[in-house]
Amino acid sequence: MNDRPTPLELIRIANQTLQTEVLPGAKPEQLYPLRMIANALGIAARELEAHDRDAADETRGLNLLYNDAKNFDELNVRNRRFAKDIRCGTFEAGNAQEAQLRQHLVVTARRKLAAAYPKGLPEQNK
Amino acid sequence: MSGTAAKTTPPNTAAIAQFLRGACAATAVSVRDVTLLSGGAIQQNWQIEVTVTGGAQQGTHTWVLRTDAPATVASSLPRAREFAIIRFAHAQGLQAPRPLFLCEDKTVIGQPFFVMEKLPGVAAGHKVVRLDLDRPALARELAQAAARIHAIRPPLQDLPFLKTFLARDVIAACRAYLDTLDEPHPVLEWGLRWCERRAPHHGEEETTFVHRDFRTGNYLVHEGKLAGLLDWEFAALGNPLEDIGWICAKCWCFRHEHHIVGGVADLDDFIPAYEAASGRTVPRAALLYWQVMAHIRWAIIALQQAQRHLSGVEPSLELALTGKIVAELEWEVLLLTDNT
Repeated sequence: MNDRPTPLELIRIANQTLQTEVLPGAKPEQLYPLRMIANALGIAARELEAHDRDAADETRGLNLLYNDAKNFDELNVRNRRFAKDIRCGTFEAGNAQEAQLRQHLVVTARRKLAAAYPKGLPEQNK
Repeated sequence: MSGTAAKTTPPNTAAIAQFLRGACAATAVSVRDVTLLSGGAIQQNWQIEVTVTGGAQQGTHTWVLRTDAPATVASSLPRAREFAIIRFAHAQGLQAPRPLFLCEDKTVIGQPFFVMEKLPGVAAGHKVVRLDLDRPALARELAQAAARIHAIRPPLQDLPFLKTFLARDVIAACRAYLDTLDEPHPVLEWGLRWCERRAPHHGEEETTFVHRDFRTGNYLVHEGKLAGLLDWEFAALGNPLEDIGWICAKCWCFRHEHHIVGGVADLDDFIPAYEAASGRTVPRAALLYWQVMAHIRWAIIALQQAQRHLSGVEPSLELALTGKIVAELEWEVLLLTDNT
């Protein structure tokens, strides 16, 4: 087992150092790449922080959609099947099922957005 | 497409000069001041200052050299075909730059390239949306430019290689790309299914020449007026409303979505002007359809951009981050389709 700081803690302090000690004194031509680096570190930190919780929530959402709590496939495998089923129109048996599908997609998309671009979230989710 | 790869190497000026000397039938050519221009997410555009001695091009010129980036995306046409399209578009009065010379020999600078005249003006999207503009006037010019493109109907004998992308073709192309990826994209699949269930059937769609990247960032504004249309690498035959949905997509507003037409104008300034210039109507449902499709298609291109980095051919933080734009695009697809 590795010693602390954890990967997330390291990314956070690296980003903080970049923003407080490097960016303010950077040359104009360095600003764009430095801001990209800060953005990348920010996304990585948010994804790491939320990963376990988001994966568990996404699994629960898929269990509800498939009415199946005993599927032990990896999330990626399940999402593959899910994407294929969406393409085939599997969840179009009625308005209730379509609404349930859409709700699951909205929740997962909101989580992705919260990590990738939190400013894009609706006000109530920020 | 949000800018260029982070690291680029300027092409060899001596090699360009040698090529141009032959192409211009000149006695001598010098090339200097090679500057990477903004835009061109997949290709690279270099401004070059060229002095030609002898021949029909004698004099000093500012030209643009357009070449492939190290890694490209499948839907982007090869340079020779784009050169043919620009030549066609220029001849048709579509405000394309005047094409000058094509070099398909990869040994000259490592990639095929062509040289074209440099039109005046600002193209970079984040700058264009901040210009002090007569926005309704620019909207009218953009509408008229789109209408001129869409007045051209197949068959186009000068461009026999053009593919046709009607609604179902776009859906099929997006799905085909998603099938090549390891990771699934349920929201994009759902958006494509939404589009499929509402897609017009073949025979119900009008087919015209289409730019397929008609948006802020790909046109020039000079002294407040539309001065040129750039980046014809995706041009094809297709539904003209695809171009209209593309420029009216939030993802091309450069954070100025209060002006939904490319961050520069409002629908009420653009759509009626397009309808008047083109003679076709743009139903709101059709506009929404192509706005949704625009976000999905841009998401597909963003995934392709990320793959350029992930493939190892073109390591680039900017390309890597482009893959993270997909989250915003998926969110917008869901917002646009709410209550539909």
